[in-house]
Formats: sequence, structure tokens, C-alpha cells
Amino acid sequence: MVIMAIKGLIFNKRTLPLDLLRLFFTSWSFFDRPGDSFRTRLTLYQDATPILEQNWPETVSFKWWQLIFNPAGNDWHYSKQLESCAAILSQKYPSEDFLQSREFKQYLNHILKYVGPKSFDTISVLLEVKKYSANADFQRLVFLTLPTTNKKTFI
Amino acid sequence: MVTAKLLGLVFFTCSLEYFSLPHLAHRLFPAWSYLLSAIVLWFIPIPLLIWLPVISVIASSCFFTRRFNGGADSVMFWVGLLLALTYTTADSKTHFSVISVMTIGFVGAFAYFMAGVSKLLSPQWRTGETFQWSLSQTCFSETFPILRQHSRCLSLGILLWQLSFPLALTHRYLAIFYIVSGLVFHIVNARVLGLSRFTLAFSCFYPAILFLSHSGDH
Repeated sequence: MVIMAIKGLIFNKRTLPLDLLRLFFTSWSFFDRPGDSFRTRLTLYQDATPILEQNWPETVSFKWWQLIFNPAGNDWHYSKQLESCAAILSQKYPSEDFLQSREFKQYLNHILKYVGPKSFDTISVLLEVKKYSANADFQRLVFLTLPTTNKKTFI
Repeated sequence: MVTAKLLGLVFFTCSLEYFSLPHLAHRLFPAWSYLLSAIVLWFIPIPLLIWLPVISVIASSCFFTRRFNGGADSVMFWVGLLLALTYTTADSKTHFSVISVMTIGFVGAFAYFMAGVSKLLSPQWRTGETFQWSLSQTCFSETFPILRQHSRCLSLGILLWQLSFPLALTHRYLAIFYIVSGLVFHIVNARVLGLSRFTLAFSCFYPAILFLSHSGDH
């Protein structure tokens, strides 16, 4: 555990002040304003044939114990956080900067680990936004097709 | 102390969550450190070890899973910190340990009050628009049409309840009312939005709020 802690300190020292501030002075503004909606659509290919299409993250079916213990639900919310962070950055920065950003890589890594056990050689990721202010359908933000292997990560 | 046992339960459930999510990056440090923290809080809450939960939360939320646990990490941090101060100063002749327990109650009431203030400042919350939108931010597939139909009424109810939460500190009957309604609020949140992590985390504030309300009586 000590070794893990030292490794964590080395890799995340840049973001430490912000993370500490967030812990000490958290924002209690939960759900106070509506915002844009984002969605991610994944397609997995094996030998150029699509083998699976799905929305990511997938919704969770309810069981009574999830009132106090809901790992899948918490993971869903965390995935949506990564997705919205990536989507917001993609709208603010040029694509070459955005694609190299740590946040986008974290988003992709989480997707890859999520689909990890399935067998595929290529994955396409479609990230879309539905503006809250506009009465329009989902618009494309990012579309990537990545050749990959199982358990390969981008960081 | 009830707060320590409750906080131990929060650390234990969080630890189980990390163990049950194999695809989550950097999860092993929080999983093990939270499990050890739960054991310390339940069985060996001595001044030296009682700081382990605080260190675990700081390390996990800053270096490892970072935003995974969201606002619940902050609740665990504050309750853990004040609890550690309470146990560390319990043998001294000062009243610092009592002040620490009271601060847990104040922080809890403040959290609800500030959530109410941010909603009060949002025109879309007052009209029920945000409430409708928040129903779409759920991890479950159900849509709960009955909540959508009464969105404005429910929005104003939640707003008034959160803003008036500090009244719980003034009288024990009010404290019991706000604690019971708080539990119902968090259980409904867990059912509708899937925000289960707050059900146990916020319940850690309740014993201290009850303690403060008794002080208010006298």
C-alpha cells in the first residue's frame, strides 16, 4: 500500500492542490441547473465486421440493496462524469489538443476497460451532445475508430 | 460512538464497491485502505489509528480514483477529520472533543443549507425545470412519470426542506423530523437517481445533529 501511495503521489502531483481544495471546500450545488446531455455509442468490430453496438455506460437494473450499495450505479455516474468532461473539452479546444488531453485518455481507458473481456480488434467511439438550450436532436462531437487489442490502454 | 460505527459502515461499503469493479483504474489502494479504515472505526478507534480513515480519503480522492466517489468523499473526509479530533482530544481537560462533535452537526446542517441556497439562486429549479432534467440523469432505466407530473411542487418542497434544515439544531423533535425526512430523501434519491453513496454518508451527520439539538433544548 505504501508503494502504491508513493506511485500515486508521483503521477498526480500536478493536480494535487485542486483535488485537495475540492475535498476541503466541496460544492453542495447538486442538480441546481439543467445542462447539456451527452451520450456515447460504441461499436466493436472483429475482422471489419461489427459484432456489438451499445450505448455506454449501460443502464442498471434495480435491486433493493442498491438503496445503500450500488457499485454499478456509482460507476455509471463516474462514467458520465468522464464523458461530460471529455465532451465539454472537445467543444473548447482544437481536436489535436483535445485528443492528447489526459481527460480524453481517461475517458477512452475507462471505455476500453469496461468492454475489456469481449473479443474485438477495432472499436469506434461516437460522442454526441444534445444542447439543453436548443430543441434539437443529438449532434456529433467526436467520432474515432481505433484499432486496439484487449486490455490495451492509452495512458 | 455511533458516528464512528456509521462512518465505518460507509468505508466498508465503499471498499466493497471498489473490490466489485474490476475495470476501475487504480482501485486497489482505496479498496484496501477503506477496508482497514472500517476495521479501525469499528473495533480499534484509538487516537493513533483513528487518523487512517482521513489519510485514506485524502490519498484515494487525490491520487487514485479521484472523482469516483464525488461529494460523498468530502462528507467522509469532514466527518473522519472531526471524529479523529474528537478521539485524539477526548482525554484532555479541554472541551475540544465536544466542540468537534458539535462541528460535525454544524457541517451536516450547513451542507443541506448550502444545497438549498444554490437551488434558491437557480430560477430553473424554482420552476421545476431542473427537477425534470435531473430525472433524466439516472443510472436506472425507469422514468418515474408521477415525479415528472409534480415536478414544480416537489422542487419547492425540496428547496424549503433544505433551506430550513438548520432548524434541526434547535429542538430535538425538529431534529427527529429532519433526520427521518433526510433518510427518506436520500433513499428516494438512491432509488430514482441511483445516488446510493449519499444515503449512508449523510447519515453520519445525524447522531451529531441529534446531540446538538439536545444541547439546544437546554
